[in-house]
Amino acid sequence: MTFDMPGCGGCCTCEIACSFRHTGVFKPSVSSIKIINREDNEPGFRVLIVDSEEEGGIVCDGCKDYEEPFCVEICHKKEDLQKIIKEYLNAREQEAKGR
Amino acid sequence: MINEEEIFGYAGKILRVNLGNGRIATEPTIRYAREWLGASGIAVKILYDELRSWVTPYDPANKLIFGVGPLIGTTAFGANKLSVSTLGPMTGGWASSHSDSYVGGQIKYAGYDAIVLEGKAHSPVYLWIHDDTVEIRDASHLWGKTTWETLDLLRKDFNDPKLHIASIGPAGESLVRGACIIQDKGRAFGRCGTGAIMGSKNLKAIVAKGTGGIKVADPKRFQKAASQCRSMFKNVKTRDSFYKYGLLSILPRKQEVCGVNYKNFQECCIPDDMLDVVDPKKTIDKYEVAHQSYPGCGYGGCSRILHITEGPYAGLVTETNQWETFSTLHTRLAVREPTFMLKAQALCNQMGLDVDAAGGAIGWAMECYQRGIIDERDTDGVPLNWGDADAALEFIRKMAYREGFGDILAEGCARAADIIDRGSSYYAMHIKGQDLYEPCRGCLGWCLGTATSTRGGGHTTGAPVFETVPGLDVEKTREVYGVDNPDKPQEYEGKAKLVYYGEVLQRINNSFGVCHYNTAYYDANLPSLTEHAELYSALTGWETSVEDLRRLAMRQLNVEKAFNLRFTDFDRKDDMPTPRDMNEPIPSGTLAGWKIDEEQYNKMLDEYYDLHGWDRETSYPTRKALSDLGLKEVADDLEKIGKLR
Repeated sequence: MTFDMPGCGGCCTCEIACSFRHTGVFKPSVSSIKIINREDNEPGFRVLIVDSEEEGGIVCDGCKDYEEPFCVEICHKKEDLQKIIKEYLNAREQEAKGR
Repeated sequence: MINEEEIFGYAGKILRVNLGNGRIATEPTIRYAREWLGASGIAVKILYDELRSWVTPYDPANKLIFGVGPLIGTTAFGANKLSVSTLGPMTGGWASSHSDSYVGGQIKYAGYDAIVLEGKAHSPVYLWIHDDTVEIRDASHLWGKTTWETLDLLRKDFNDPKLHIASIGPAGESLVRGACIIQDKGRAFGRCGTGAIMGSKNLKAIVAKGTGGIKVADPKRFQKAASQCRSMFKNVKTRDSFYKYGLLSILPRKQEVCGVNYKNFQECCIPDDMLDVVDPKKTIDKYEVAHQSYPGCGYGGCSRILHITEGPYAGLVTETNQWETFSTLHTRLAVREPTFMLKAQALCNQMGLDVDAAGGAIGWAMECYQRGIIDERDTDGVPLNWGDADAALEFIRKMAYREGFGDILAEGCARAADIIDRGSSYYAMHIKGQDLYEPCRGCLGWCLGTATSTRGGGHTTGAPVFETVPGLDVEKTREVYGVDNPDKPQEYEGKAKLVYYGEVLQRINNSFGVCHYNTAYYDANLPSLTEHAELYSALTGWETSVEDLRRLAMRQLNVEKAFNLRFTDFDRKDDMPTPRDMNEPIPSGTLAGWKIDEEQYNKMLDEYYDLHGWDRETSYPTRKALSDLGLKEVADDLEKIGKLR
């Protein structure tokens, strides 16, 4: 699931943080969040939240056992990312209800 | 008995690639990491031990080492600085540079703490690293391309728009002494000419992709320490302006304290009417289209992507430059077009040419032209008037391709002045052969750190930056640096001590892979050695104190010094500021009339040598100083060449 995030600077610290929380190791290749280029290839970044294992990472659970997702905690634009995670979790919930 | 398997924080292996015979091997990082800290620490040990005294910079026997510090790839603040070290072509001695971007993390996730490049490929190649797969691949289709074209071509080849690379441009291929290596499109390994060494090895690029992980000895302790460090950024007064404008935010303060390079250091301020015309904040506000940040940055980034929509460079899309480009090219060459800084930096990055090497050489040439020392017969028929942006850009290009007069400028201002002669060397502003970019007059800590730097004229190995940037917290700086007068840049007292602390902190930053501006280098409220010691202890499981870090940093510095003594004739005379800085008072601005006092400078330098246990007369280390750091073998080496006191 991908989201626009105009304020993202592409530092990818969220990817590092996510893998650390879920595995105890800094290993962004398995993280639930990926920063990707914009589809039109213009400057700026988008956020991909992993919602299936086929996307190459741990499926995002919104850090349900924690007060705050670590990616959000460490992000300079945390309000923007928080919104994205909420939107993602809502979409997942709706999807589950629809099944 | 060392357990070579169990290591935390580090990836665990050092990759050795011989480009001449194709041999690829690894060795365990643990062989070095306890006594030779991180990226630049391991590099100086390998280069000192393995380069024989007959090796010259472009010799295939020279080695080029990329080093990934232990904090890179973690959530530590500002941990994104990949390191590169070698025997450099600019000074002929120790060369070390650091650049922030993504390649370091990828190398580390692939499993390597360093890449030692040896030999010379028979034809152009690039290095492909993907976890355990390491291949030397043909780069004939990339040779001759700019760094921007190289990135685009490789991303296309790999069908991967997020591929990250470190490459050289035409300047590195042409062995321009100030050629640099560029990460992706916008981040340079400035100074020292490491790009020329890569070119001399026929190595066009390093492409890295890693999927592995980095283990932490004590995850909870590390997490706590890293979070505490991040919370320190809220105490930085200039945090918001740094986030928005990066180091371009410091112009008003620099103008106030005579810290701007104008007309090749003839003046230390720009004219007041120019200040408003070139104001870089306005340029950023006008053309910003996206944010740009690099892994871990505690500010959330210091950069923007700009799209220039009007004027002579309309259509250019590029990352914004920082202060160095502004001071060393824009104001130094007295250019008034506000977007020149962006165009000049973009061109330098495309060519893989250090902005300081370009500014130093072209600034010297413009001053020589102003004084009638050179004319159009020397300059390929091009008038070199101050403020001529087109001429400046033309000579950046000519330097990169070594065309015409550009071939002389490509040697750097010091050698160019030797070639032209005619009394021009006074206007070649360099330390140890490396071009300077910022005034040494008026800020003595900066001056001493820059003049004594082992890499020559550099400001990331000891020179304190806070003397002339806004938002100085005097009390906190006193506490961290241990001097009473950090807010008095024109006082000689305490500056040797200030530089000594800077030498340690900056070496630890370089070793760990941390951006200086995320530390007490820039603002004393930010993490310093205390926080570094805690993070490193938690990460590696090796309890490390501030005193341990001091000792490890000083071991590095002394081996860099010994490296220089082996390959150059540097001594006390090379730790002095330029003749202009010594002879001329500041001509205008708030410090008009202020001049370095030679006797007092020399007393300050004596104090600096005393702090290191180095001989006052020659600058050479003493046996005691080296032995106290566990460097007896280095003392023996220096004794053999008559450079031990």
